[in-house]
Amino acid sequence: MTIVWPLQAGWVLDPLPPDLPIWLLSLGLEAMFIGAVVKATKQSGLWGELATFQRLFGVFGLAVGYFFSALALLSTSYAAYAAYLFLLFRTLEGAAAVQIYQRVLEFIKKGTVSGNVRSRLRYHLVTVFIAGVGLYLAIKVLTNGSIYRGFWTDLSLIYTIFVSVLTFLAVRWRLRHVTSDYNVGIVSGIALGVAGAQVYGFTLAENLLVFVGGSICYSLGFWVAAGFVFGIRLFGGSSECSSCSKDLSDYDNPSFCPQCGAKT
Amino acid sequence: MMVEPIIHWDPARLRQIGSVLAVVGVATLATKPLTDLGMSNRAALVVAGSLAVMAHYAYRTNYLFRESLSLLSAILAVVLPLLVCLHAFRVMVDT
Repeated sequence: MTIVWPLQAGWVLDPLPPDLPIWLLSLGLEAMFIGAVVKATKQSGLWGELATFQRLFGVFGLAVGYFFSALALLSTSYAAYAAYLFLLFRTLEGAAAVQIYQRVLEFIKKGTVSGNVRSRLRYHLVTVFIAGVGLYLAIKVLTNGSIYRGFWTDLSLIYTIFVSVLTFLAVRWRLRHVTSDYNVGIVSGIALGVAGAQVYGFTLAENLLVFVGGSICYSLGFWVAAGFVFGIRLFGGSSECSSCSKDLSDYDNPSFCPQCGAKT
Repeated sequence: MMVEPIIHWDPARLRQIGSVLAVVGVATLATKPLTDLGMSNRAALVVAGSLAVMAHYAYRTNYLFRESLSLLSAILAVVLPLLVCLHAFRVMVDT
């Protein structure tokens, strides 16, 4: 599920609570830093050797110190960081769109779809459910009047909360393949940051720039990914296994390397 | 006393807290060999704390120290999501 564009209620509604986007950006940044420092200490083998107080003051002290320093700089312009995260993720979404074409081609050729269909279905059902609840509440406000504090307040609240949640889920879903390579802190931090960027209260000019920039980044991501994917299909990929470098030219386009079992 | 949410704090104050915390963190990790050599945890914490006090002074007097940590944190804030997204891009293209 792609992230909803800022060309929606955000153009006429301010986020509510007004500080929520900034909190999401800040908490996302904090989670990223903690995740990165923990990962760095684990990869260096230091984590297991540290005493509890060393982890508390050392690792978390460093992570929180980074966070405060970054927040000092970002507080001068949250909009710039929000726009950066949004554009970065739009590029990734463009690349993800290529996979749809790949799956259609695969289905036409083989009659099956690869990947975990069950988890994909589960994810889409959850997002449809959440979007449905949000839509129901919005329609209820539009037809029956205010539920909570006022017509526009209610709509702003519904928009902000539901779009934040959906964006968080969408980013976590999009980065699911790399979660094991990093850690849940880094990936969740990025998800929180992008969610904050999605509902950030840009000015009209900033909204236009982000919208146009987002479309350009989406196209860029799509065509670069398509160039890689379909370029390999047209001109042939490497005849070596990327994991063990076994020569695969003797085999007829194998799906898995016969030596190490890695996907080709 | 600061009663505003952290996102509204004065940037100079945030930078100061950040630099002190980061130095405490680095000093605690850097004094790990001392605990391996037999120094007590409390003594190692005192060493780390004294380094934090020195960092606080350095922050107030040295412009380069003050700006370099902020710059490093900002670079991390930009580079981390970029690296993760590039990796995810590569995984998408490869699969």
